[in-house]
Amino acid sequence: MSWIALKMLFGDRAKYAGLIFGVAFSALLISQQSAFCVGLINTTPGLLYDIREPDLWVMDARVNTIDGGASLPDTALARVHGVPGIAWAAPLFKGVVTLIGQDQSQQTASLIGVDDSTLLGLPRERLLGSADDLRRSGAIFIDEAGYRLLWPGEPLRIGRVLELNDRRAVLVGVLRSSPQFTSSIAIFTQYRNAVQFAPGGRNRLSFLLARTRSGSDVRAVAASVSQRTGLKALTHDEFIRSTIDFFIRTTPIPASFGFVVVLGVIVGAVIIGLTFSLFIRDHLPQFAAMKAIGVSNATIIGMVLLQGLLVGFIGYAFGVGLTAFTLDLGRQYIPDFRSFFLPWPIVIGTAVIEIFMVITAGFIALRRVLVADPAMVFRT
Amino acid sequence: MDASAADFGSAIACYGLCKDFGDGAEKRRVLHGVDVAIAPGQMTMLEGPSGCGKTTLISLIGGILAPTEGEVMLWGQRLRALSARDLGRFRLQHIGFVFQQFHLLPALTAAENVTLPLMARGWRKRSALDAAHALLAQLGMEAHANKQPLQLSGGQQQRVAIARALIHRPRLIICDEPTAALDARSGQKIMELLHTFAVDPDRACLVVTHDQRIHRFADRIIAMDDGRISNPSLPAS
Repeated sequence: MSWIALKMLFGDRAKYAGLIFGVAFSALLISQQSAFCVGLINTTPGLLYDIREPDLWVMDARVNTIDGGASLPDTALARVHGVPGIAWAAPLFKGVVTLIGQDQSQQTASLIGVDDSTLLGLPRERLLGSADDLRRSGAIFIDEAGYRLLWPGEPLRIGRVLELNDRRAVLVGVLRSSPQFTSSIAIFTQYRNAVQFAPGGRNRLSFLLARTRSGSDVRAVAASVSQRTGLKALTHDEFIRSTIDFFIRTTPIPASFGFVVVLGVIVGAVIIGLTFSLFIRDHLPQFAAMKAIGVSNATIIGMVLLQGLLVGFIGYAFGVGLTAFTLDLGRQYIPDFRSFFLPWPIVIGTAVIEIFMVITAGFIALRRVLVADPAMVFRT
Repeated sequence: MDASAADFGSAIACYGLCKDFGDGAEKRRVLHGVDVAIAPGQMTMLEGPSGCGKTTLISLIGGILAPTEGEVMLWGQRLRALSARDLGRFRLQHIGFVFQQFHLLPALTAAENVTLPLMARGWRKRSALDAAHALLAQLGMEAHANKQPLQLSGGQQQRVAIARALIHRPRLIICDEPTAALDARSGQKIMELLHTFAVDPDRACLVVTHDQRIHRFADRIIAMDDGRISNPSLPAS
């Protein structure tokens, strides 16, 4: 009876298209908005994904995110270095700077000052230029996405001059780094240059990157750092979690995207429910005739579920496919899109929601079929 | 559930059939103790004015409705003894229906519509379609087998409906006003077909009709009035 169910479905083209549209629209909204939300939240740890060498991040006790807030005194470096179990520690500056390009356009950029001697904190995936060039006065590296934003369509080229907070900076290299939440442009320079570029007060040290000695218990060393220095010490993963949690808790990102996702569920459910009900209502005499002939309720339930699951699958494939396509297109042409992708939990989650909606709509519509009096075929 | 296991001589036997619709003050009795027996190998017509209970009676005989009181036996099988599921299977196996409005599935071709009872019984699509094409050819519908119902005239659609009622070789054919939606000429042709193919020594054919022009096809006419059989043995004129 499956092919009969499918022919009934395909035969009613308007409702077939309506059902697919409903599922596709809903799947598109749910998957795309969820992907945007996850992509955006994923940018919040940004730099943390690129700096893998330290296993401890030390910061002011009030700091919750990689974007910091309160800075540390320069003496913190020596204090942390003196904690048993710490193999090495290096300073990191993280701030925001106003950037003026050669065409006088003004942008806000994220400024990262890495350890002067070791250049610890500089992402490893370099596309152009040598890390050693960063040791020159006023030298900067820029991330690829920022370069594309500042000089769209132009080939990668070093030697360009920029103005960072009224100070001259020379581009000596281009690298690839993870997207950051606060800015689309990331600039890397030596720590001593960074504190010159960025205005600030007495304390300029944003973080201390520390590595524990081999064989040490990282958590125990972190606790020891906190106890001895009064600073907060988090492992790499703890800091990522802390940053993400902070943004989820304190920004309207999850709520605003969540609202659109809920809207997608509601609109999808309404379209699917109404169209399925209309489809069943219009085919009620046919189902009643089948019941009169002797087709069992179980067979009819199977037919309606097959119809529902098929439109669900096709609509879902369209919706999620469109999401994947638009995100892919965006990543190719829009630098800011590089953090947006379609994670498999969203693909599966959207499928579960769509299946639930279609089966629920199918069962609600089925009630009319199951209670339909087959004797109606003699009256109509 | 072998209907032939207890053959009481009649294909259909109804005893004291009553049917009420509604509840409480709204309750209305439509059939008042109908007793009727119908023999196989005949075309029996059920006639009477609108609202006299003809459709209710065939719904009870066809196992689509359950009687409030009384008993329906088809080929010795008490329908009341069957569960809803078994009743469905019984209908699928032993009864063929021809409806006034045909009730063909518009998305299916004529041949596919005819396969419906076979498909519901678990036949393979190819075998069912072969059987449907063969039967439609017998009914003169070979050229229209792959057309959809909306491409067919009313008479042609009713032929398809008759083929659907006959395809699984049921022992009872119930026709509800089979000519009501057709012009006189098509109606006559449909009745000729029904008489030729539906009447069989091992099969009963019960036709509900208002149309006196088709009475000549009847072997027996049962008249109903106000929920009762008014003349159980009126011979065909």
